[in-house]
Amino acid sequence: MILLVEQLLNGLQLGITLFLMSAGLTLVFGIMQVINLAHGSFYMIGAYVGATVAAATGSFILALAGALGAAGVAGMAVEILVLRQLYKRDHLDQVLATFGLIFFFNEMTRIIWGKQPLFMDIPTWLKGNIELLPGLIYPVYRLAVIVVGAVVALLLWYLFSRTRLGMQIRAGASNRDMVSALGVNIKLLYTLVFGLGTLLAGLAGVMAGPIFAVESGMGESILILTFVVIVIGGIGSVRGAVVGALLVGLVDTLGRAFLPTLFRTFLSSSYADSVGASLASMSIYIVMAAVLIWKPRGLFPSHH
Amino acid sequence: MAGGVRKTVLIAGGGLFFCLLPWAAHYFGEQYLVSLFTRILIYSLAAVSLDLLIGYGGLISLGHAAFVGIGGYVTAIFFQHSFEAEPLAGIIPGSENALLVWPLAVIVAAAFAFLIGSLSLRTSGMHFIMITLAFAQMLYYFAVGLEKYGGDDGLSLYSRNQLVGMDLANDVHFYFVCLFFLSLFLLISDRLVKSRFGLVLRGAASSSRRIHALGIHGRRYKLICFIIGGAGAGLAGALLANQTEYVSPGLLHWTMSGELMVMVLLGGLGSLFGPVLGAAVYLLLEETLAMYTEHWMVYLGPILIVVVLFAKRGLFGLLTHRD
Amino acid sequence: MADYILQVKNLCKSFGAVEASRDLSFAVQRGHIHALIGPNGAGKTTVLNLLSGELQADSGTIFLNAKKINKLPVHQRVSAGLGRSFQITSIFESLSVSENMALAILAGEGHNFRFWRNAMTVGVVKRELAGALARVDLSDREEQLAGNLSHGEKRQLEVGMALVGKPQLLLLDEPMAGQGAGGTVELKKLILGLKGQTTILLVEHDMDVVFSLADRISVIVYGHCIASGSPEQIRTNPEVQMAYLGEQ
Ligand SMILES: Nc1ncnc2c1ncn2[C@@H]1O[C@H](COP(=O)(O)OP(=O)(O)OP(=O)(O)O)[C@@H](O)[C@H]1O
Ligand SMILES: [Mg+2]
Repeated sequence: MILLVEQLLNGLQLGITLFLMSAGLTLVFGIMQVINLAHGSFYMIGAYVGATVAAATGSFILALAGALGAAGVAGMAVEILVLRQLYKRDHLDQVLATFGLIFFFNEMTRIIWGKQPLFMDIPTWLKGNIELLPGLIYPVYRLAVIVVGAVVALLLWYLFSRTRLGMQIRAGASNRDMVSALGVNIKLLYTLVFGLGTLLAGLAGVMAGPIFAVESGMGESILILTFVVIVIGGIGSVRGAVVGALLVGLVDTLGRAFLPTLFRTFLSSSYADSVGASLASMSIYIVMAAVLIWKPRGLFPSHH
Repeated sequence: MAGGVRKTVLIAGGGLFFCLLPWAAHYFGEQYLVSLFTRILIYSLAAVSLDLLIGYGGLISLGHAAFVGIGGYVTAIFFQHSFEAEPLAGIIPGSENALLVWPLAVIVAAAFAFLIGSLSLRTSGMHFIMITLAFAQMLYYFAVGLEKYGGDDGLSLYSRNQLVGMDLANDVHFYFVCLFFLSLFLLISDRLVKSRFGLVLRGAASSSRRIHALGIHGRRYKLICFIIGGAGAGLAGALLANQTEYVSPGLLHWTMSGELMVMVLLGGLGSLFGPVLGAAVYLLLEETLAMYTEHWMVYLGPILIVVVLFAKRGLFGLLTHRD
Repeated sequence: MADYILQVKNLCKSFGAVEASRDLSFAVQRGHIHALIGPNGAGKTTVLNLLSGELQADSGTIFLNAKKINKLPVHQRVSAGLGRSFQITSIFESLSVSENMALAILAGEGHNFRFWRNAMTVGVVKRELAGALARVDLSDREEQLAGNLSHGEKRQLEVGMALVGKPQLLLLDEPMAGQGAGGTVELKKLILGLKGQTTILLVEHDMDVVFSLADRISVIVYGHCIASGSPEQIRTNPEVQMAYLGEQ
């Protein structure tokens, strides 16, 4: 029972990270109709800059600010320099050009920071564990990640449903010709949305810093999970991103934690471990396939 | 010179070049060129099979490496079971016979292509790209989890497969085997895209709505195209496993899919012979850049972006078109 | 009693709040050129989409040759005798003109899972291609990519492709749109030439064309057919005048 709650929290934490990644990306897909493979690069940039600033200043708050700024600015620069040329192109061109961006960013981090992974310390005021329930001891830092993610999700919800900018973005996701007909400065809106998306990716990256190793190429594994989230949730839907992210986070975490044990009940233990582990790493893709058979356009398809 | 004549000259010249290469390498004493160009032939085969999907079927698959990996793993797994004289799943004996293992690699890859294709083709556009990527990644993790076959570290073959009348351990023999299969696949693909099937397929890629209105189930044609492409990639995987005498999950990794896509685009989308040129240029460029700097990817990335933005028809198009 | 090839009864179709078809009924006699007219956004294209099966009606029935077809998928309606040309040009832009036509020819020839022989050398294609291209005056364009044709030529190609299957009822959505004066004359000639070979349901904004070609005209306003009759009857119908004047 305690174990289950602990794993649920871990799943929630992965889900939150995935939400931060997919919220921005799904908007870029939905509004600009651009498939961007390089989104994981901004996650990586956030993590690297965060780790560097933290190491230099010892301040986690400064690290956060630096990471968000770097990811946001890099995002807007990439939008202006490269992505803009791709809006009118077909998906294939977008895939290839953003693939080129990944090559560039991955190698760039290797040039600047070297091949060795960086490690980022948990700030002292978030170190230690807390007893959530009798017997359930959970790291404060991971809890903080969940809280930050939840706060950001609320802020996004407020931005989208209560502000003018949010209305324009939402309108753009479902009908972009309409938005430009209304005289909104589309170019600026696109740059801002893109920058917002990469900033969130940077936030996810810096928060992941103390949990995973910060290394070149770290963006790609999270990127693919993000794609799974978006496929499940439906392109262009922030609500879909929330549901998809939590689903993927929970299925992945719980699968890894419990599938091997489950298999051990009716298979020999070494065999069960390897089958269970294999299946666990494939579980989210199986969920994705199931969703696909049921709803080919995702759980919350936006209307085009 | 008209475009058609140029194309013929270019293809004939390329064919001649590949036929003579081993002798040239021998003459100049650069034996490593044979294995470098074997690699180019094999990647070309994979790239041509991807060109069938993208250039003719309009199917932007970002998971093509999965089929290369499947072909490779089938070859390696059968080798392992033969080598250790322990039947697969207790009943199926392993084998090192190319005439047995390679067709099997093709069939298994095609079967997976059927599965993945049937699911992925329920969608289109951006969804299709992401879903093919995700399925390939699923197989990647599956390969990583295959502890029995090396897991993360991959699996070694100790020697190449046996093929009657050939000595595959001899690099020149193996080179010509690869050249044969590439030529065969090019011939088949060339007939295919001009056939009734190919005409419908290209039509469906151009406008699936219109194909539907003609009373044709475009999706079935696309699925068959996806399967044929997967089969070609599976063969490439079997050959690659033989060349390097090693397979690893890296074969299925999505960066491999991306690189194949780059080769196709670099050479020229929808031109079949273009991707051969693309594979050659890409691998040679990689080789050359890597000689000067270990950070060659930092140059390759922007080169790629520039090619995408400014050279739509690829190298093959540049060489065969005027204007 | 007249011989109706097509009967549309009480068709309804809404897109959210927009009622694109509202209790819509009309009938087309065999051998006629029947025109559908109506102001912009009246729902004419929607009717054609409902007929061809690209859209499913919310309610109502469609009879083709007295057989209910409103539940059939697109391709079965094609084999039941419907051919159509789209309002939004949708030929296969990346194929050549003759490949476009060959595709239309082969579509009616059973399955196309033939993987080896060159499609352009198949018997039916060799027999019919030249004639089909000549019929729409595109013989000298056969090697061109369809995407590189002029707007008018694309229309000609589309009509030509729709004709290949020898449809009993041909749906034409604004064939004159985007044509220069010369093109209009050509197409008019073409459509007149088809009279007697097939029945045509023609959606067209160019009133000169409509009144000179059509045997009968139906007027659609806000998704509802307010009048059907001969060109003379329609010209003098007060309701129609109201609708058109009211709109402008
Ligand atoms: N797919 C759709 N989704 C939502 N609304 C639609 C759709 N298709 C058509 N409509 C609406 O239905 C109404 C009828 O459209 P339709 O295209 O049939 O008109 P039309 O008579 O062909 O106009 P035009 O003369 O401009 O071609 C319009 O208000 C249009 O906006
Ligand atoms: Mg219309």
